[in-house]
Amino acid sequence: MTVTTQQLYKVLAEKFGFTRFRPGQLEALTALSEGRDTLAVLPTGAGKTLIYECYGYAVQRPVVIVSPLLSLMQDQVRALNLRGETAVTAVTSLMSFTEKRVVLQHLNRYRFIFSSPEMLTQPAFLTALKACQVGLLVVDEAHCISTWGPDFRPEYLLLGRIRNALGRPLTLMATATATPQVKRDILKKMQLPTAAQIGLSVDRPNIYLKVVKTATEQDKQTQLVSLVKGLKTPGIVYFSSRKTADEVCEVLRQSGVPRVAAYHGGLSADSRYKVQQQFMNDELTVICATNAFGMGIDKANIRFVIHYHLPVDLENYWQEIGRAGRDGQQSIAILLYTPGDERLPEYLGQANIVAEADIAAFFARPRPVADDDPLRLVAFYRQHHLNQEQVIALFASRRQQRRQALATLLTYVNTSNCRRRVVQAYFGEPTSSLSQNCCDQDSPETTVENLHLTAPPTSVLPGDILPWRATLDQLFLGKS
Amino acid sequence: MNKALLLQLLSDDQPRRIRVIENLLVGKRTVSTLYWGLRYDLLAWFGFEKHLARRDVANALNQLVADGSATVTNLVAQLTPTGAIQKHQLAKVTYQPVALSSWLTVARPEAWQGLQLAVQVVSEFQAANRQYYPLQVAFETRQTVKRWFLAQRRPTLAKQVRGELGQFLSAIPEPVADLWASLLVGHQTPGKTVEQLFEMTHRSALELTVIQDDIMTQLVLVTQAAPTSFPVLHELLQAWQVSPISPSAAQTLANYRAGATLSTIVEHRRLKPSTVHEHLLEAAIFLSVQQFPYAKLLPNDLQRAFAQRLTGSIDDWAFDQVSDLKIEFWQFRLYEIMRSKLSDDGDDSTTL
Ligand SMILES: [Zn+2]
Repeated sequence: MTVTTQQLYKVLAEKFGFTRFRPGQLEALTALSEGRDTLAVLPTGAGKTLIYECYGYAVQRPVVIVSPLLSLMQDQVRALNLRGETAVTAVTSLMSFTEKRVVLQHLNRYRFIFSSPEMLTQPAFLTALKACQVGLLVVDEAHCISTWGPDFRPEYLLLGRIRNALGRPLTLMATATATPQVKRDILKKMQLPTAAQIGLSVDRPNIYLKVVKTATEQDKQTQLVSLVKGLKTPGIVYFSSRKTADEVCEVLRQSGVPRVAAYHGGLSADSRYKVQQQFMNDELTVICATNAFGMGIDKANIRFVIHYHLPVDLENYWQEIGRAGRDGQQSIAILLYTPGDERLPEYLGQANIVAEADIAAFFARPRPVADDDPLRLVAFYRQHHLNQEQVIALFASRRQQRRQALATLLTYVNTSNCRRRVVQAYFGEPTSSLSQNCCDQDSPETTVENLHLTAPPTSVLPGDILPWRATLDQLFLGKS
Repeated sequence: MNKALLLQLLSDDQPRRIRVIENLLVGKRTVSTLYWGLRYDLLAWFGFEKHLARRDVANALNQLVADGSATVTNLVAQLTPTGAIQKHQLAKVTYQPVALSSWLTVARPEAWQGLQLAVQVVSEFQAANRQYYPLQVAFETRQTVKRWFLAQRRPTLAKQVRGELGQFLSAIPEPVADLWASLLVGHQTPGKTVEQLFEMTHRSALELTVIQDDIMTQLVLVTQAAPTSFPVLHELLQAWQVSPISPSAAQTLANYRAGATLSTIVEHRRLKPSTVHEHLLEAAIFLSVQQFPYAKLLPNDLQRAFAQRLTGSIDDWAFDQVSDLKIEFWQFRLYEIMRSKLSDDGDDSTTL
């Protein structure tokens, strides 16, 4: 099936209300229209979802999107709903039995079908999918298939087989960040060595990069408070632990930062929804979050992203700070570092790595394992016919990769040269000419003031609890 | 669980088993848990904290013991006089549920999710906005709200919902009504989170949850009792009025009432005899004495024999005292349930 450029522009105008594609979008769409499988590496916020949505509308056939996270799927379904597209579903483990039956019976009514690799191995689902002639298979967060990447997900290894079972539909592999090594690995594991490759620079020139080193945890907290109080909002502070996110949120509140809230997986779905909406509405200006926050956040005017803890690697860091400055305005990313901070990501990085002796013991006496057991991965490999030596080798190389990833991140922290150059080298990009406000290493004289990122004085306080009559009037009569 | 909740659930004149309290909160439906829930007068808390972890119970208990508020031997806990005073004082300064005895007749989490979604949908509808993120709720709840909205959709809907909620809330103490309403979500109104209310009011998360559950229960009861005064909310909320008795136990009781003998029920429904007995006990626990066929299941002469031998506090009775009467344990337990309901201290039968 071929699609003309004219048709693509027509869909762009009618469905999205745009007259121009953003960089990378048309290139990817053209490759797909020519029937070429495509690997698209586009930074977060570049509009990669528009590529498959537009293609789906143009060919009038269902699009299947494989996604690694439930929350990500839910966000994408909601975003499509929001634009008025109702023929969308996410076939996930969260679905009740009834819901799943109803959806599978009417699968051909859906234009966009989100799911996970595990779900896609279920025969009933595969059969239903085959019957509705998938127009495009999208592997979202395609870097998850690579054992070289930080977010490796073993179930992604099933995708090559799933693709074959679906009759090898046209495939789009999309990711926001990938080093040259990861790109090669994606194509190899998907068995698509000749796929077209579309890539944009991962650089975000309007984000000023800064690292603040402190001697102690206490200094770090003090630094954070003064940074947050001095910076223009809205902003996000990322933490690796829920507990610290809650604690520091409270410290900020006590220090006179009025509209701050914590966001993490420990909150109820209700509270997470409300915090997110309050942030979108600018009722909250600072969020103390774990990495659960931001996946579906499409807020253009975020001015700062601060990391209170070290992320696990540079890919994750780059992805998280990429939520700042989507509107193109000057923004800032600050990484707080206290010596010893690397112990947490080191621990987290090694947490799922199983020792050689445990692997051997498992192969000698296989047994069922719980979902949160690190041995789950060993069981998964064994189930998919890898032998003991192969599994041991996989874990050994993974351990090595995690160490390497952390070392790279520390290079970013400790470099005495331009930080952006470290990032560009890591992603295998040519070094671009740097903006004047690049980073604290090559323009140390740049201050928050001359970046124009200082906070205007705020006088608005968070909403009080209104009398119930006023609340009801606001809800139902539109009075505020 | 925090120690305030455990303090509330323990007593100074009745030793209580910690595992029973834990199983009640988690909502473990066994006859033993339900029976002791009845004896402790705590049945309403069944399923109040479904994700409760055992170590949280242990932590709360350790704190109470460290404070000198409770003593514990072999996982049986009792409040000290200090603990009893604390409990009393806490009750004076925190919200006390008024619909507690009906909590189990309302599917509270589903009703609350459904109501919030309905309010949001109506609010956005009134604002003529079709582009918004709906609250994420379970499929069945979403379908219920969707059906309701399609049937009720008309230009005056927002005004009607406003009117009915207003009528309900004017009968609730003002500060509590204000808090509850501030949780609702609608057009350009994201609603407050429980954490934010905790920040703003210094009421504990526990108290806020109790308020949320209790007001929701009241709203369901009020609208179901007066459909003509609350036509719109009556339609919405009826889906979440439920029976605390499990469907299979209700079925067994219905069969028995319709004249089937216990052995025919066993045969027809392919159940174990013990399961049928458990069904009857479960039903008896949740129903009032008048609603359950005690006379048929416990003949007069058996009741007389029990009454002669079983005296003193019900909690101290033992099956050994009557086991020579050629009866089974479930009959002994059924008698205990009946007597619990007839004496003042144990009557916690749910209003159905
Ligand atoms: Zn630089």
